[in-house]
Amino acid sequence: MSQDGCLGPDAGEPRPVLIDAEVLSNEAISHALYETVFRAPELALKARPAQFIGVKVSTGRDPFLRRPFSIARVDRNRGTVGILWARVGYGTELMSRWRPGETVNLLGPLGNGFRPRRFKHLILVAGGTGIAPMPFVCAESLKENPAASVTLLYGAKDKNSMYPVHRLMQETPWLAVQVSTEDGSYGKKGLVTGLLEDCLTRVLSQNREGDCDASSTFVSARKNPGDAGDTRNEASGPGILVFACGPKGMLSAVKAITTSAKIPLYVSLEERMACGLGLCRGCAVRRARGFKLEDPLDPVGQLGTGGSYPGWSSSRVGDSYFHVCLDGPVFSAEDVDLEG
Amino acid sequence: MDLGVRLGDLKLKNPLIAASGVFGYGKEYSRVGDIRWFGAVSTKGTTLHPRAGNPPPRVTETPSGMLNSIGLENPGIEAVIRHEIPWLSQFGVPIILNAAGETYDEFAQIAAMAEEVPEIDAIEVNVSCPNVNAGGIAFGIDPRSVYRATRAVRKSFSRTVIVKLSPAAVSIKDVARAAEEGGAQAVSLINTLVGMAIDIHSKRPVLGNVTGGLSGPAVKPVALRCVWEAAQAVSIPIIGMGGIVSWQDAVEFLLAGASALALGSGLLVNPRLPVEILRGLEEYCSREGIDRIADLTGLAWRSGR
Repeated sequence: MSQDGCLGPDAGEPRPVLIDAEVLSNEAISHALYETVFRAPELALKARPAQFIGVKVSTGRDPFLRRPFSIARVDRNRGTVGILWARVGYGTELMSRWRPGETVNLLGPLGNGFRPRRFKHLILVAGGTGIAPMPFVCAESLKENPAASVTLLYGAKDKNSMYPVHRLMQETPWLAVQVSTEDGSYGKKGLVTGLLEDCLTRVLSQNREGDCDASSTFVSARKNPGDAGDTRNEASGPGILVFACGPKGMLSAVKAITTSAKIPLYVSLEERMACGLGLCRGCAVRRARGFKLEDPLDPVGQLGTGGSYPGWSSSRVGDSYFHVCLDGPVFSAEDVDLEG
Repeated sequence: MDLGVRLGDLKLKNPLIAASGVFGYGKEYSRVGDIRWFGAVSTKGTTLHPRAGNPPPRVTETPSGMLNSIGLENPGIEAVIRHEIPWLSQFGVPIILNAAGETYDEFAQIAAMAEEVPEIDAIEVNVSCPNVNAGGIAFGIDPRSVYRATRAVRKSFSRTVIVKLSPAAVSIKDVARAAEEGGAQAVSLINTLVGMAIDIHSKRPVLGNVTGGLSGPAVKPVALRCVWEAAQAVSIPIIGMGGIVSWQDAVEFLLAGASALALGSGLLVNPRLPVEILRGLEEYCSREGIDRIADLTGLAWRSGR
C-alpha cells in the first residue's frame, strides 16, 4: 500500500503480541541512561527499527498505563529485545528496581518504524534520550543499501549522561559517530544541530566533487504525498536522508536545516500515550498546515486507505491530527507541525 | 453456566461491553483482540459533524488511573454509518452507537440516521462527556436535560436506548430516573470524573484542554456507589463501569446492581481483559453455585440483610 520506502510496516504486517518477558539484565549505563534487555523471541522476530513497545511497569494498578519505549536493540538469534531509558518519574523509578529473572508484560511491536530503502548517505541525529532507537536503526541501516554510508550525530548534556558510543562503534563498525555535549566535556561543545550543519556541508561538498550535481536530486520530484509511485522522501542518486529523534525543539531546528538544504527528513515523535494501539486517540500530533493525504481512490481522505501512513484508518478522519502510535512514531517531517 | 444478560430488547451472550472511547470502531482493537469476546461493543462517541478533537497532550497517567481529554475526535455519523458500521457488523456482536449531540436537535438527527441502519442495535445517549464545550456533561448533571435528550433519541429510534450518565450529577438517582422516564431501557454509569494535572517543570496544566476525565481503578469506589444508588432507584438494567480491571471488580459491580459491565481504560492497558474476566466470572459462579450470571445482579442489597 505504501509507496514510501521509509515508513513501515505495511498493512498485513505482523500484529503486535502481548507477552510476559523475562528481564535478562537491567543496568545503569551512564548517569542518565538505563538499559534493559528482555528475553522476548516473538518480539525480536517481528520488530523493525524505530518501532516501540508498551511496557507494563508493574503488575499492579499503579502505575496504571503502559509506558512506550523505543526498541533499542534486537538480537534475533538470542531472541532478545533491549530498551534504553532515562529515570524521570515514578514509573521509571520502579523500573530501575527490576532484577534479572523478573517477568514484565510487553505489548509490541507497535508503530510504523523506519526502513530506508534507497539512499547513499544516511545521517542519524539523536538528542538526549533520542538515542534510544538508534542502536537498532544503525544495526539495520545497511540492510538494503550495503554500499551506503551512515553517520550518527549525537548530542548529550555532558559526558556522564551520554550513551557509551564506543559500544555502537564496536557493534556497527561501518558507522561514523560524532558527538556534541552542551558543556564540551566530550566531543564538540554545543548542540547536535551544529554537528548536522557541519556534516551536511561536508557531505554536500564531497558530492559536488563527484560526478553529478547532488543538490538537484534533493528536490522532490513530485508534490503529491502518498501518490502511487511517490518517492519524494527517498533520496535517489547521491541522496542524503536524515532521521532524527529527540526533543521537539531539536527536531524543529533540524527541520529548519534540512528544509533549507532541501534534504528529506524523517522524525520519530514522542507524545503522551495511553494504549499505543490506536484505541484511545490520545497521542495526537498536529499535522502540518496544508497537509493533504492524497489517495486516488479517496480524494477527501474519508476512506483512509493509506497513502504514506499505512496505519491510517478511516476512524481517524479529523482534519487536524495524526496519532503517534498508529500513524507514527516516524513521520516525514514535512507532514507534521513541530512548533506546537 | 449462563452468562447471557438482557438490556431492553438487546440480548448479550455475556455481560462484557467494550466501553465507548477505548475501542474506536473496532478495527484497531481487532489487531490485538477478538471483537467476539464481548457481549456488545459501544462505539467511540459519535457526533453529527466530524470533530478533530482537543489539542495535545490528551492523556496522562494519574495515581491508579488516567486523565483524558480526547474531545470526541470522530469522523461524524455519516462517515461512521458508511465506513465503520458495515465492517463492525460482520462479527455478529451487538453494536451500541455512542451518540453525542450538542443540542437536543442534534441528538434527534443522529438517532434518525441510526434508525435507518439496522446493524445499529442500540444508541447510548452520551450526556456525560467532560471534554466538550457544548453538550456533554452539561446535559448530564440536570435531570430535566437528561430527560429531554433521552426523549429526543427515543422519539426517532425504535430499538434499544441507553443513557450514559455522569457521576457529576447532584443526584444519581434523579438523573437515572429522568432517563427511565424519558424512555431509556438501560443506563450506563459512570462516565469519567473531571480532574486535572499540573506539570511542575513547565508550571502549566499537563493537558492541552486543561481539564480531563479521570478513569481507571482510582474511580472504582465512586462508580460502585453510583451503580448501587441508581440500581435501587430505577427498574431498568444498569451497565456498570469505572475502573474494572479484574474479575473481582466485575463481581463487585454485579453485586452492586449492574446487569452488564463495560471495560474502559482497563482495556487500554490489557486488550485481553475480557477473556480474563469471563474466566474469573465463570469460576466464581461455579464456586458459589450460581447458574445464571444475572442472578448476581444487586445481591448486595437484594439479599436484605
